Amino acid sequence: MRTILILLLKDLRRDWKRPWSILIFAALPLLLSTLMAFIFGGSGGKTAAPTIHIALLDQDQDLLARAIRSMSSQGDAARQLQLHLVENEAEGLRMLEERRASAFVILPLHLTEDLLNGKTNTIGLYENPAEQVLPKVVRQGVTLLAAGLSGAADLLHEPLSEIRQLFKGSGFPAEGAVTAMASSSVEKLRGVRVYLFPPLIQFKTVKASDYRVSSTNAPEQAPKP
Amino acid sequence: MNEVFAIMFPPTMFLWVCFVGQGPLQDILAEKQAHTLSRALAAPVTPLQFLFSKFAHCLLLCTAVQAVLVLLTGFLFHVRWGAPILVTAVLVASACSITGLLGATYSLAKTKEQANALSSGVLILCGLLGGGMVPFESLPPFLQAVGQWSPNRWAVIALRGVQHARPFSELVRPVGMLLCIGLIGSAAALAAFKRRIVAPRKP
Repeated sequence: MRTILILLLKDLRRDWKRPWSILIFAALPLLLSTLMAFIFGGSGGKTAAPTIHIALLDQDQDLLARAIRSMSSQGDAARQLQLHLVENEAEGLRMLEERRASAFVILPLHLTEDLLNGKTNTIGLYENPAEQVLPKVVRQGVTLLAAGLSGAADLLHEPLSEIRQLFKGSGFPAEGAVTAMASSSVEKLRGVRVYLFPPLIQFKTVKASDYRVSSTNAPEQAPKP
Repeated sequence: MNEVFAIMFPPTMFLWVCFVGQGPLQDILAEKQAHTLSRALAAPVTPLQFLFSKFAHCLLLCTAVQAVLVLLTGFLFHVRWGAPILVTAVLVASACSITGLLGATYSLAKTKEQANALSSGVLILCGLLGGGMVPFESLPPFLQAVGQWSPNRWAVIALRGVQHARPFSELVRPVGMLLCIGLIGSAAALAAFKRRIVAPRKP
């Protein structure tokens, strides 16, 4: 054992005198990880999310389609979502071919009417095959949108129908009609208050270093190596 | 940025620390080629003692370099590595697996040059399959199955387990795998080195 220690100390003394190769190899992971963190992590502490360009053909031109279009100009969506309204299908497909959009979404004819009448309708989606991630983000978004619209149509069928009629009318809406509609909407929402206000399931972002095991992320549910 | 750093650093660290660990094992072949090994063994030093000292040097060097890097990143980038005792245990197990992997690789080569070429290939392959260069999850299933045998994979799982304060029972398997790779690799390498390089040739 003593001999091994003597030999080991001799080698360590030699490392101490000529540490350069060790220092260079030790510095490389620091350097590479720092570079990667700058590239993928941004310098301001937040990841820079790309803007998603979507070509949108609105064949419905009705209440819900207008609401969907206006969503893109609100909140975070205004920064990360860019809608390009197109006149026809050919124009939308051309945008995909020219790689000016990640996806092409078609809001079909009678979307609002069918939803309010409980009929099935289909939102069209073309994904740009030249891109990997962003079209999948759009697909997820459209799936969520479809589920959300179905849920909203089920829950708020009456008030939505009334709002639609108000918008369709040529004159200024009557005060009583607006009040009745608001009252009806509030009454409907009161029924789902415990689920929505605040939402029963919330999305929360935490730092990887702050992640702690809790009863809701039990270790046995974690992916196994 | 720190989160990205905390994710990127463990696999990168393991990969490059493997290159640090090459030095002591290169010495075995270099001393043999330079004919200084016979002089060293003429002293009251047995071949096994000589080999043990080189393997211990590799183990110590890899542990020390990883420890310095962990401390530095904690200080510079505020990376939280978890409980110091568990981190130390994982670093020692990682260094043990590096020693075993490099020992087994170097014992296959006859010259230092051969060993350098062979070990670079093995280390890069292990790094690639173990998630050191691309995210492990993005590998196709058959490569993931192969990558499960790479020490890089187990070292990253163990280190992240400590980082995320996983229960001790979850750390036993990766640390055990690292120690197994280290012990089996080192034992095989010691036997091969003793037979092929250090043992005197028969007349």
